[in-house]
Amino acid sequence: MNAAAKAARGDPGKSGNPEHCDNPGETERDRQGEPAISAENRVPAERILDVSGPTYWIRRALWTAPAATLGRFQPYREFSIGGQPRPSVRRLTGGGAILHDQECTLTLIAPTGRPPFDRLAPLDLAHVAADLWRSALSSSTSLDESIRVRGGTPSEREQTGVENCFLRTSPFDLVLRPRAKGARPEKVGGLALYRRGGQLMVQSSIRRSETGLSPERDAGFARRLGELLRAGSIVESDLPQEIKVSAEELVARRYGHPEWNRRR
Amino acid sequence: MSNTPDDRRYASSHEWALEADGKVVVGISEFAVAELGDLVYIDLPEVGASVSAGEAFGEIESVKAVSELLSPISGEVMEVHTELEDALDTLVDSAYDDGWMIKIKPSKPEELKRLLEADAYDRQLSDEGE
Repeated sequence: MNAAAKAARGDPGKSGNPEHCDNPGETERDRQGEPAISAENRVPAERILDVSGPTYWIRRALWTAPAATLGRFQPYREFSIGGQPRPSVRRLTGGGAILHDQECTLTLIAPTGRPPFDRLAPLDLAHVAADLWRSALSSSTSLDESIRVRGGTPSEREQTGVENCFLRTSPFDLVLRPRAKGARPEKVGGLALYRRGGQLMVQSSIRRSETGLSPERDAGFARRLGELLRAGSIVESDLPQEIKVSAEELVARRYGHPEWNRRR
Repeated sequence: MSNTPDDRRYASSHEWALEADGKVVVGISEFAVAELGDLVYIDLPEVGASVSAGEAFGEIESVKAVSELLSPISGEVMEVHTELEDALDTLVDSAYDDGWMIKIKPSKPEELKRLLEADAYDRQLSDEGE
């Protein structure tokens, strides 16, 4: 396996009850590693979801080549990126296809049993996540006040036929304020959520060209997210070996097979 | 006044379980449907699948999030309400009747007694700030 990007994790303190711990304590974050192919880049986050418990994880990913990931229930299709057809791999999260190339791909895995994700309604969770992302982007790039959360009323149900995530609109999009009067806000980032048991996964795709992020600056963005989550300390690490091994198994069993990705 | 039917049991994760004709009918509560918001897709298991209490039997996508559906009881899936996939509004209109999802032949019927009764589930909702 081409060693994928790395992650980050944060524990809710070395003592005390996580539900009552204001300071989540140690956070360990996976460093950004070598770029990976599509399936190998998506699967580790699912394995982290299985083992993360009360620990925050933030995982950054790079791509060896442009790739497309499909929303959980989106009909299968392949995309041409950079003039070349690319196989698609399915994500856990919903929404439309994301064409990955030079953008910042960042996944947060967090427990839902305590603030800020102690809510049931997906819209509430999405609000919290979008505000976190906006704050982290605003303070770790030069965007400052020009980045905002789109707001408005959800209309995703009417947009399931729109394949490309960046052509869909959501109240939780990260957008740039229009420079000209009457212009539409430009979408520079999208979020999608998945819940399993007491864990929440937030997958995000942020366009680097419009935000000033770069592979080198992604770390600062991820660190800022950890700070906003009130992680006591942030630890960068490679993806743990046990997660690499179980991710390889999942790639071999599911995501690495075109038939599995085509199941819809 | 509560709209929570008292003829069935509830999981703290908001699924309901109703014993009928030797099977357990499973769905999700009105509260859960309302919290999920606009529903986009549902993925249910196939007949014959094994399910375990507390483990996922399907997934539901609403605006911005895919959530697992957890089985309140262990057993074998005997019937699947496949029509729901094309009629998700049924869940909104009739979460406790026409919005049923699967019927299970329980392998551990005693698990049903471990679930919440309607009044206890209502108290949970109050604690969650309904």
